[in-house]
Amino acid sequence: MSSPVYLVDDDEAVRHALGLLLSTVGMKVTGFADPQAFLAQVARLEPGCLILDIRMPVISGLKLQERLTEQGVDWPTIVISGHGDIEACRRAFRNGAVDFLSKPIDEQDLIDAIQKGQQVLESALRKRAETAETITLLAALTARESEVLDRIASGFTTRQIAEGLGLSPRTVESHRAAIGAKLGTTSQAEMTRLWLEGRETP
Amino acid sequence: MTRSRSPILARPATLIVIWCLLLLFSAAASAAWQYRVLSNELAQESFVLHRLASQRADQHDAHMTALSAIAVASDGRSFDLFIDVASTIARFYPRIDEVQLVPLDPQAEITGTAPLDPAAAELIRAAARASDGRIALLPHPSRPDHYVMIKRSPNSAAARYGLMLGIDAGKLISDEAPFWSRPGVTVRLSLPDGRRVVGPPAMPTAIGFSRPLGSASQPLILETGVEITTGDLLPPLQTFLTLLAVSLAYLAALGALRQRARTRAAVQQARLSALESRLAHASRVNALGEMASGMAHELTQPLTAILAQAQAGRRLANRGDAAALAPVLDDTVTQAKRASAILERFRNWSRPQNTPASAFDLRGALTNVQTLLGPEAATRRIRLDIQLPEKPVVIVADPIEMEQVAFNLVRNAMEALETSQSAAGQIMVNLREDGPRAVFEIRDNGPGVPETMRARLFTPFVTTRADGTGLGLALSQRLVERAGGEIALVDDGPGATFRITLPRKEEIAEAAQ
Repeated sequence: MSSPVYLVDDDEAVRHALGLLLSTVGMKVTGFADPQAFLAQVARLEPGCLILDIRMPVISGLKLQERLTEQGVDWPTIVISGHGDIEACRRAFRNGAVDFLSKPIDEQDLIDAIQKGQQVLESALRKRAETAETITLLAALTARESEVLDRIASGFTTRQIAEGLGLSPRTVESHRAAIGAKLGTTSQAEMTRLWLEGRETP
Repeated sequence: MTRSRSPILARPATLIVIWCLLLLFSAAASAAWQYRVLSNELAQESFVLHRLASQRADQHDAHMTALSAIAVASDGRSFDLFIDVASTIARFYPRIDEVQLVPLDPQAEITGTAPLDPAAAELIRAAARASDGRIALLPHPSRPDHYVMIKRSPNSAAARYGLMLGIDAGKLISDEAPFWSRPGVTVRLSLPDGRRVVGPPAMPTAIGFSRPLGSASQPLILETGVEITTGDLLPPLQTFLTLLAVSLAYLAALGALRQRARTRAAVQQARLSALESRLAHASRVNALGEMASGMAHELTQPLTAILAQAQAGRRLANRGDAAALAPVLDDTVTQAKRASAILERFRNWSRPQNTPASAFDLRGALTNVQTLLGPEAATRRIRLDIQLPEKPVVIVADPIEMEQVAFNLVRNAMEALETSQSAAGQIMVNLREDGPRAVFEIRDNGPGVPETMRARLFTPFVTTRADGTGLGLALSQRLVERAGGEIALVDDGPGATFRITLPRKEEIAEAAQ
């Protein structure tokens, strides 16, 4: 619940007021007056929720959103605007915005949107962490064990695996035990799930 | 759609030529009509004359027959009766002014109303002898304008006399009708063989009538003619009146056309000025609309801040954190003031524009523009530099309108810098007094005005911006000119410089004295 919030708005008063409001509910807000300054720093920033104003000089909020996507930053984004412009709204959502809010913004709408964004961010981060863990586990397997796991995941029996690899069934069984120990499970279904997860993120 | 005034009406030479042609045509038509009237009259009168002369000629046959009978009956005795009858005939028919009874025997005595010379008597005898029973016609041997009818008597091979009637041809074809006494009207009578009896040797060729008389014994050829002069064809008074009437009608037609053209021009003018006032109104409404849209956006900023601050303040108050609350309230007050300043601007803009001109310090207007556009310039990273003199620069105009002009120009400059992508945008506004005039210039370091745009810069609806209305400069020019000033693009690149020159108040006062 404490991932940071980044607010990009060229109006100083708006930036300060929204920052103050969010700080009273315990959120950590960092303000940026200029989209370019934000772009320059984003690589060093801790993942967080983004609030972007549409109408800003040089780079609009929508364009900033697109640039961030290009840079691989997929943090949840809330777009705020002084105009209830439907076209801008559509474009914001097409770019993957979590929400689109019209100024002046009610605190509850903003807080709800940020919380939703933070949930999205958290689940994404958790998912990423889990995948990373799986990959670490799979990386601990020897080459032979990986071959055996491939076949287990493909639904072959121990005997079939032994024949296919030219091994004795006993050897395959011992590999299987080793895999179970390393992955922390003896269930074939769980092994298959981990194997699939490992395949999804090479 | 717009029909211009008929160009013919504007060319006097053409009008005069048309008038002359019209007069010529009317004269010709009038003459042709007159010719027709004359020839009709001649034909009619000639026909009457012809019938009359034919009837008279027929009477001669009866007289000859009667005289012949009397002559034969009196043969050998006294010719008193013959003479009596002949005299009576001559008395009643003055044209028959001679009756002669010539015995074929040259020795016998000639009886007649007048003495007859021997040569004539011999002519009569010869004609009577040669006669085949028909009456012979000859010119009178001695009297001019007369012809003679000669008949043998009795009318057989055993004829003993030649009966001769001398006819005054002039009387035969005389007529009381006034037509024949007109000058130029000629009548001629000729014998069937073409020998002329009475009338001129040459007939007018213009209009003619020629027909033999309807008498079996005397098919004399009656010819009539009229010598037509210009005076006949164009009787002066009638011609004058006709031409006068035509001229008057022409003038009336011209007047009507001119009136119509004038009316049309007036209608056109009215439509144009209506269009112009609509355009002025549209440009104002448009500018207002643009203004309102920008205003709405600008108002959302302080409102967003105020809402967020108020809600944050409520949370702080609930928490009892009075120390943190105070600066929040200060900020809220600041933002509320910002919002009311924006509203004040909008009120100024939307105020009715026909406020009377008043004397005011131009510096104030430019300061206002800086206040209005300064924040926007700052967010766009544009340096807005306004240089004002120490002393007031007083002009007489509508302050809001002059502010609007400066506002338009500075905003245009900002738009130009926006597109130029140049790093350090700069707008210089400079006000100075130049003798009797107040001059302010708005200069930017943007890309300048494209060459193709310069000629049409102040034309309404001409713009380089995709979302521009093209009314800003047109409206500015209108406002500056209304204040007695001028607006111009100064050509000293690289950016664009607009110079506005307005008469200063002192100058106006001097001019009024």
